[in-house]
Amino acid sequence: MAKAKPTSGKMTDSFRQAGSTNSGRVHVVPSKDGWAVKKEGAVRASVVSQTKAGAVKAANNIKSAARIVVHKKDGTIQSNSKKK
Amino acid sequence: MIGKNNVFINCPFDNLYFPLLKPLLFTVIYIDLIPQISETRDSGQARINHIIDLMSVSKYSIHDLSRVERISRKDYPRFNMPFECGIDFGLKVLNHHEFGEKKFLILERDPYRYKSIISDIAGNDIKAHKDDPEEIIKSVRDWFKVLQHNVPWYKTIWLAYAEFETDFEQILLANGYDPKSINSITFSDIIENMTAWIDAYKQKQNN
Repeated sequence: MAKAKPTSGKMTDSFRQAGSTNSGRVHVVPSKDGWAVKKEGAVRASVVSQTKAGAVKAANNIKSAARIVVHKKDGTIQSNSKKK
Repeated sequence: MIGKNNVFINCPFDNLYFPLLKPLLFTVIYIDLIPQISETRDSGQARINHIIDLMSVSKYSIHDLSRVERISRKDYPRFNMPFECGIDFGLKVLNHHEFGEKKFLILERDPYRYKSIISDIAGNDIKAHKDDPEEIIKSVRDWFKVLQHNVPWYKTIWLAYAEFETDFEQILLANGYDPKSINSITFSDIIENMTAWIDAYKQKQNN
């Protein structure tokens, strides 16, 4: 098994910074009841669509959105692109 | 001495399980508990002794038995998880005075599969995650909801996790690590970075 590398405090600072800021991303996330559209930092989804295309369209309609991040079912990123 | 916020995590440590391990850790930290997980590369102490130490300080344990099977024809089934689960049960049963308040959640892939492979655990809290990260968040969250207050809705945690994943991937790549590999950074680093992110995220929402 490859040896895991310890990370630096600088990296933890990056995580702290990322959690505290709002970079204008809107996330499109698959969930049990459809595709959720969530503005970064919001507690709840602003829209839940039955289709991914509908969710992406709704995400693009959010005025404050700078980037649209579409997630896979495991939470990882499928695409991360500028708002159209 | 048992820590009331400590949660011992007994699960597979491989890249196939990594997409489930991250949301599992994320959920535990999000509800203000502290994961206790053994670094598989720490050879300074007999690993099993270290694991028993972690069990002994944890009020809660999560045992994921979903990999007690061959992943492919080349692989063997994995018995570390049921072995450690048995030790944890033994601690509680044989030393009830000290460990009687320990509580166990058993995770499985499919409902009732445990009846075919380890039926002695029937009657305990067993939940099936179906190899689905959203489902593992729901399973863990729902179990803790019964045991303590102020546990947010599972979907709140799932949506926060998706946001975290974006940052996790970007920050690891920016620092030269492979975000898909469980061996890129240590578990203690994952927990420390996740905790820093969640603390900042919650603070942002409260402002």
